[in-house]
Amino acid sequence: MAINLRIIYEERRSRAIIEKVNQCMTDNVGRLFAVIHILGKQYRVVAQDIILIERNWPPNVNDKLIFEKVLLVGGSSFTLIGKPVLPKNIVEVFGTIVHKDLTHTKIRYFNIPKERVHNLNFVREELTYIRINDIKVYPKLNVLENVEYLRK
Amino acid sequence: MSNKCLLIPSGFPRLPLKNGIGRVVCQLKRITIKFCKSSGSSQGVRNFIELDLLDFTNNNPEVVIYLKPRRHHSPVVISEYLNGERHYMNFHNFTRDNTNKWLNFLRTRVGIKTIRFRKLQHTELPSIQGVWSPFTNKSPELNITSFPNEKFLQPKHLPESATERLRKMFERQKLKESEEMKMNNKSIEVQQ
Repeated sequence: MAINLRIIYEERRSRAIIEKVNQCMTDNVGRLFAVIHILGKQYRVVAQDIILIERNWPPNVNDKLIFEKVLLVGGSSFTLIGKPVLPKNIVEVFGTIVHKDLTHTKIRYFNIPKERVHNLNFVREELTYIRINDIKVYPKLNVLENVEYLRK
Repeated sequence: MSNKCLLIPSGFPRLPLKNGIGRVVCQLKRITIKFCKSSGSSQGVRNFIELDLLDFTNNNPEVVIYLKPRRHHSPVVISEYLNGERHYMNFHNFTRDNTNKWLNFLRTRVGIKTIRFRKLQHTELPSIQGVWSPFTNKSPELNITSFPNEKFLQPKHLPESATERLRKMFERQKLKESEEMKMNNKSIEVQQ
């Protein structure tokens, strides 16, 4: 009996918190920040940010992207943490690719001391500039359709 | 190791004219292609001009292209950008595909000089919820207390000692005994 009471109490508490966060997301969201995952790296991002990616990456200039691997979103009054990624119907991060270039010539030198093994390479990698346009948050926290892993 | 270089100037990533916040503006202003009409080193460039140049111009109407035939010179491409930067590139013995690729590379550039980046990110707003300090989300109890205080002298999580546990057991036992005594007394009263 005592365990059931505790479960009911926790449910009620969590529902109250969810309602409060939903209200925070609807009322005046203000500036948002997010942590997004691109090519194995995580970036903390605000609207109008610039991100550089030093790798061969197919998207070209003027392409518009939606980043769906959002690990965390936050405003001035709330934060949502994904486990590990937030569902798509809650957050979306938009960005455009502005500029593609090559980096400066990097020196890649490899040697094993006391043995005649050495390798010298000069490398210029591809550089991609991403501009983050917008972070959008949808107040759908209590609506858990098609999301199985959140509640079991 | 690879990012350390003494001779190349270093800096932080910026973009000219807030490019990309609204629409993306092509920063390439004009391209001048110098080539030879007869020599073999500009064969690929000539093929490009014959077959691909009109497509290139149709796809990029904001770029002006000049063609300058120069006798017995290797082909050269000079690109000029909106920020006034000039980029010179030699196309000696380039194939048609190669010229296409490198002209597209010049098109996608913004005209920033190549520098070594100290950071791969730029933000105008480094913090939104406020910068963290050791006193954030802490109770302001520390501000009121006067030191030395016994509560704060103790370690935070002290494990229970054996004597303490014994004392507690003894107290529990005493409670039990007293309850039993009460029960016995009650039963005696009822019997009477």
